[in-house]
Amino acid sequence: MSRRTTELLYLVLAGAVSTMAYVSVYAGRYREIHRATIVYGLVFVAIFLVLHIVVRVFLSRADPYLLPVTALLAAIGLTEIFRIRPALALLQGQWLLVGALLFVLTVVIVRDHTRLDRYRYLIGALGLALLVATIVAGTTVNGAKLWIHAFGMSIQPSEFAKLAIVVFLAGYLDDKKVLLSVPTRHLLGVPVPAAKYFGPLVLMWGLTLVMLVFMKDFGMSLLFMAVFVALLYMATNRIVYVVAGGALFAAAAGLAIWLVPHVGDRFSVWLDPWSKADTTGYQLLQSLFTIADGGVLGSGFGRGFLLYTSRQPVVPDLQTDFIFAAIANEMGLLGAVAVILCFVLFFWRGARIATQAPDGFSKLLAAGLATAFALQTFIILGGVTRLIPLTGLTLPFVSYGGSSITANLVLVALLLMVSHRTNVVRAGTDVERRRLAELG
Amino acid sequence: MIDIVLLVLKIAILFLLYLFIWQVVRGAVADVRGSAVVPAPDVPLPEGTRPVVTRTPEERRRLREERLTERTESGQVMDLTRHIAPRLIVEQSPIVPVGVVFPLDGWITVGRAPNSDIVLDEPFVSSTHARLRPRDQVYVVEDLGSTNGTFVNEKAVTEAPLRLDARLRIGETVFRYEE
Repeated sequence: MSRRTTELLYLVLAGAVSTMAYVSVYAGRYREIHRATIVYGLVFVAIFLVLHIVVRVFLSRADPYLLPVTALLAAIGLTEIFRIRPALALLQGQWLLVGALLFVLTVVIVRDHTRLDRYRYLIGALGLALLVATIVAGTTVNGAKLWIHAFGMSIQPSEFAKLAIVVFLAGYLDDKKVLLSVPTRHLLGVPVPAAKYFGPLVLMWGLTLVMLVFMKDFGMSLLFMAVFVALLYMATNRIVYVVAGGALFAAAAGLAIWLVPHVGDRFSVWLDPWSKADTTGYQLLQSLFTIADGGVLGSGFGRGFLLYTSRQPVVPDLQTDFIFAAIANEMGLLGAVAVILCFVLFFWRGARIATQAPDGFSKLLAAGLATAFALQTFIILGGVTRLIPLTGLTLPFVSYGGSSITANLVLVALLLMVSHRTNVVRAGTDVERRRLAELG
Repeated sequence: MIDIVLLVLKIAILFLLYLFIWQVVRGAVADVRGSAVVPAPDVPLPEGTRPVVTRTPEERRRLREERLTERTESGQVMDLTRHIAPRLIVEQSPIVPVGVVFPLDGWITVGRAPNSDIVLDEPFVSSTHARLRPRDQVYVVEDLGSTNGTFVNEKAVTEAPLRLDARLRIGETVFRYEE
C-alpha cells in the first residue's frame, strides 16, 4: 500500500470519528439526529480530502500519518467548540478553510523547504516585525498583549512569528554550528563564541525578554526561549547552552514573577489556587473540577456540565486555552489520554522526519517545528492540569483561534515538505530527484 | 432511545480513537522495521567536491607514464613508479562524507574557494588553504598562509612530506594519505 493510500485510509477513519462526534454533540443537546450534522461532518472530511489530493500531487513521498492525526485533532477541537458555543464553531470552520488554503498555497508556492533557506534573514526579519507590530499595535486581552485587531478580525501574530523564527534559526544555526560549537572565549565557564556569530542569537534571546516585558505573555516567551535553546543544542551538541539558557530564563522568569503582577498572580495561583478560589484561582479550579467530573469514560459529547444555564461556560476561556478541560469532561480519562496520544504521535512523526532528513537545514527545521509543537502542547496542557504555572497558549489544532489553526497547518505543510525531500533523496526515482533539483 | 444511541456513539468514538492510534503506531513501527533493511542512502556529494575517480588499471598505468615526464618545480623529471595511486581518504568531516577518496594527481589545491581542486566549504578553512604537490619521490603538503593552519599528524606544518597513513587535517576535515 502506498503512503498516500495509507494516508487516505487514516483520513477516512478520522473523518468517521469527527462525523460521529458531531452527530452526538447535536443529539446530546437537541435530542435528535439531524441530517445537517452529518453534512457538516462530511464537509470537514472534504476539506482534508482536498489537502490529501494536494499532498498526493506535490509531496507524494511525504509522511502518511501527519495529516490524519492533524485531522483527528482538528475534528475533536471543532466538535468541542461547537458543543460550547455553536456560533464560534462556524467561525472556526471558516478559519480551518483559511488554514487549508494557506496549507495549499505553502505547498504549491514553496514546493521545497530548502528554498526558504535562501530568504532566511528576510523570514527572520518578518518574524521579528510581526512581534514588534504586536507590541506597538496590539490590544491587551486577559493581561497579555497578544492580539492585533485588523479588518474586523483579531490576529495573533506570534503564532506565525513562531514559524518564521524556527525557519530562520534552522538556517542560521546550520550555517554557523561549527563556529558556535568551537568557542574561542569563556565567560563564567560558559563558552562564548565570537560576537559576530553569536550576536543574532543574543538578539533572539533579548527578544524573548522583550516579549515577556512588553507583551506580558509568559507562555509565548517561554515557548520561543525553549525552542531557541533546543535548536542551539541540536545544532552544536553542547549541553552548556541548555544550562545557560535555562538559567537565564529562570532568572528572567523570577524577575517577571516579582515585578509583573499578572505573571506573579499566575505563579501564586499555581502554588495555591484554593486560597484564591473566588478570584484569580477560580479559572484553574473550575478547570480541575471539570476534568475530574468527566470520570473514566466521560459524560459523553453534548452531555457534560460545561455551560451554566446562562450559556456561560463553567470555565472562563473554555473554548480556547481550557479546551482540554472540556475534552476531558466529555470524553473522560480514556478520551483525554487518546487526545494526548495523538499529540505524542504528531511529535513522534516530526522527530522521525528530523532524524531521517538528509541535510542539516532540513533536520533543524523539522526538529524545531516538532519541538515548538510539542512544547506548546506541553505548556498549555501542563497549565490546565496544574502541573506547571498556567500560561495562556492555544492547544494546537484543538483550541478555538484562527491564527493558531492556520499557523499550525502551515507547520504541517513544512514538515511534510521535509519528509517528502528526505524520501525522494533516499529512495526516489531519477525523475523525482531531478524535479526536486530543478526547484532549487 | 436517544440515550442508547448516545451511549453507543460514545463507546464507538472511543473505540475508533484507539483503533486509529493503534493502527498509526503499528504502521509507523512497520515503517521503521522496513527501513532498517533499506541500503544506506547515497548521500550526494556537497557541491563543488570533485567526484570520486575510479580508474581502470590500464588508465592508471598510462597516467603513471605520463607523470614520469611531468614537469616538477625544479624541472626535474619525477619518478612515481613506487606510488601506485597516491590518494587522500576522508576520515572525518562535517561536510564531505567519510570514505570519499580524492586521488592525487599533479598539483592539488585545497581551500574554500570554489576553484580549488578539493573544495572544503567550512568556516575554519581559508579560501586557498594548502597545496599538495609531488616533490622528489613523495607528495608534500604546503600551507599557503592559512588562518587556522594545516596539520600533519596533529602538528602544525608549513611544509611537510606525507608518509603512508599520515593524517592530514585541514579545518575540521581529516584525511588519511595512502599510496
